[in-house]
Amino acid sequence: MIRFAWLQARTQTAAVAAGVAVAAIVAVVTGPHLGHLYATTLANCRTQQNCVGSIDPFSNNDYALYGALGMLVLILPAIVGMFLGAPLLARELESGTYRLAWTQSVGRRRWLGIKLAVVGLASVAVAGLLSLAVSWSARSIDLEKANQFRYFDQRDLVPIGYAAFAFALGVVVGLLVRKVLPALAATLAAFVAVRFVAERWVRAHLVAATHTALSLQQARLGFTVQPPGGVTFQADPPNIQNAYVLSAQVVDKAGHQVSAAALRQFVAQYCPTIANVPLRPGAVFHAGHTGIQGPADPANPAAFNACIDRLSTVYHQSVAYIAPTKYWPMQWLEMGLFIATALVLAGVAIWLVKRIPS
Amino acid sequence: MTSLLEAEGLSKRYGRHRALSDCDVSVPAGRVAGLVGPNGAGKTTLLQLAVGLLEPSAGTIRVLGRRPAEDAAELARVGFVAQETPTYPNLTVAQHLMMGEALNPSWDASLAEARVGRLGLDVRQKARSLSGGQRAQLALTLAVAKRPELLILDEPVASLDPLARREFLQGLMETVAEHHTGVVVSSHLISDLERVCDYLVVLVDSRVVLAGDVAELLAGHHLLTGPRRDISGLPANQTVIEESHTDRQTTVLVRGRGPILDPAWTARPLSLEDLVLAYMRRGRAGTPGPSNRKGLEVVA
Repeated sequence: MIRFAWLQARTQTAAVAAGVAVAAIVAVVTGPHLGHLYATTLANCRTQQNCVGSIDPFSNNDYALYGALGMLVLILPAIVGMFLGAPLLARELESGTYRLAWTQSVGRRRWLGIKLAVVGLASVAVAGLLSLAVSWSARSIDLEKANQFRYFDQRDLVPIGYAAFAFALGVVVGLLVRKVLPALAATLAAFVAVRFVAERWVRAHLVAATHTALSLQQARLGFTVQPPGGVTFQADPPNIQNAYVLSAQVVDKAGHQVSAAALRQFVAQYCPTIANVPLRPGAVFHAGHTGIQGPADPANPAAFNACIDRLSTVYHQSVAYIAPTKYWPMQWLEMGLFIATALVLAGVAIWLVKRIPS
Repeated sequence: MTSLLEAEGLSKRYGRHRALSDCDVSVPAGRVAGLVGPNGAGKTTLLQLAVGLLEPSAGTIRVLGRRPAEDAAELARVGFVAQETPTYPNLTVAQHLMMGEALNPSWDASLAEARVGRLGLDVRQKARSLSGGQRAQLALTLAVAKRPELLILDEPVASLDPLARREFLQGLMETVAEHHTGVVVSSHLISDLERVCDYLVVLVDSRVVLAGDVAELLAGHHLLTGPRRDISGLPANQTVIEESHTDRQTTVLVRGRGPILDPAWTARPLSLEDLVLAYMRRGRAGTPGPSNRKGLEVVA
């Protein structure tokens, strides 16, 4: 039975696996070279103090490969769901061969269980292989960027969970839709929707966040004009190395979020020189404690810094973030969540297959 | 011995459409039973219920004394060739045999190989490039080589040319003779079945209108012809199935065992095809009208 399940699935599986193998080889071959290029580019630009200019050539040529391999890891689970999962039952139901398959001497549920195991494991193996190759290949650039959560869903373990989930989802959708092409489309739509929801509303709750208070003097902040109304003040999320910043708010001493109107009023009251600066609406003037960054400002930078000092006596920035050490627990948990969902879906398929079609 | 197939009050509906209505039928053991009826009469529904691909809406069905497809053992006892004889287009003949072997513990590999050899099928050929007749033969081989006690075939020859039909049915009969397999085979053409069946079930408009041993059915029906007259004078043990009148002559199809003594009638036996066609016409004509049927549905 296992051999036969494989016999039926091997054409599509082999096609997906061949594509993945090519990508994995490309990743492994180019990885060290790319990492070296990136490191030397960075080292050069740091000594020459001109990173914008010297990174551009790298970005325009070699960097595309780094991005493309990551994208491949991102979309492979959808491909697995569409081309290995969805047709598994939809093709049998659409072409009528289920009448042949389900009248052999193997119960329908056992038949499906074995197929799910064989093709599901192949899906997981393929996704795992690609993720491993790409994660290894991109490692030196990732380290250099010190922003590990940015590529969270293109690296390490989670692609395995996504692939298992997409596969099981495809099987269930195929069983319900019973036609290959609509099942492919529905699988893709459902997979993207679930991934979006999980990324947006679930991921941040998998591990405990760290809360910290930052003085405004340390924060990345600036002044901006928002019509209607005068100049106000805004603080960007801090750039914490390898952390995943969930939220950054300007709060008062009691910890309550400060409204834009209150900030505007504060600026108008305590920083009159800034409040009266004739800024174009929407223009943002980034200020640091050491001076203004960005477009030249007509006003005296000292005025901005004085204003920030004044602001920071009343307000501070409250930041919630996932600490760098939580990366691996989060990887394991998100993978586990998707694998658990995949198992539930597989159970649903095995339960449903005995009741459909009738 | 347990019946091949036993249905009581068996019904299947899809929404408001009745595919099979209150069907009572019993096919005795050891028979080759033909299931005949026009297209859409419910033959496929009945057979898919018998192999467990469908679940009844009401009533019960027993195949070889058990619920269809109840477990792997029951599945192994019944070989099925579905309508249009589905096979996997991408798999070769050899791979189909491998599937049979993998999915059936009672698989008879030598029987399968011998049959494929006798049919002259190239085992490396993919099913998609087989002719309709070859595909049907491959499907029959898969059903036969699992060595079932009962073979159920749903319009296996519908898409075949006359020669392939004859060959297919011949192969079926050889198998039956060799392995004493019971058979239930459906067709919308009685001519396909009269050579092979010794039991007949006629389905019209989702109902069983006739069922019985072929020899008994033929012996029990007569076509009476005589001068035009009223037919009320026929003996009470003769049931009129169909009557027709011309200006000078009356023709009556009757069912009954007793002799026809009235010398005005000329009694003739009739062919199975004529018999079945008469019941099909009667089944159609006897169908309750729309208003009547609606009332019945409310009651049901």
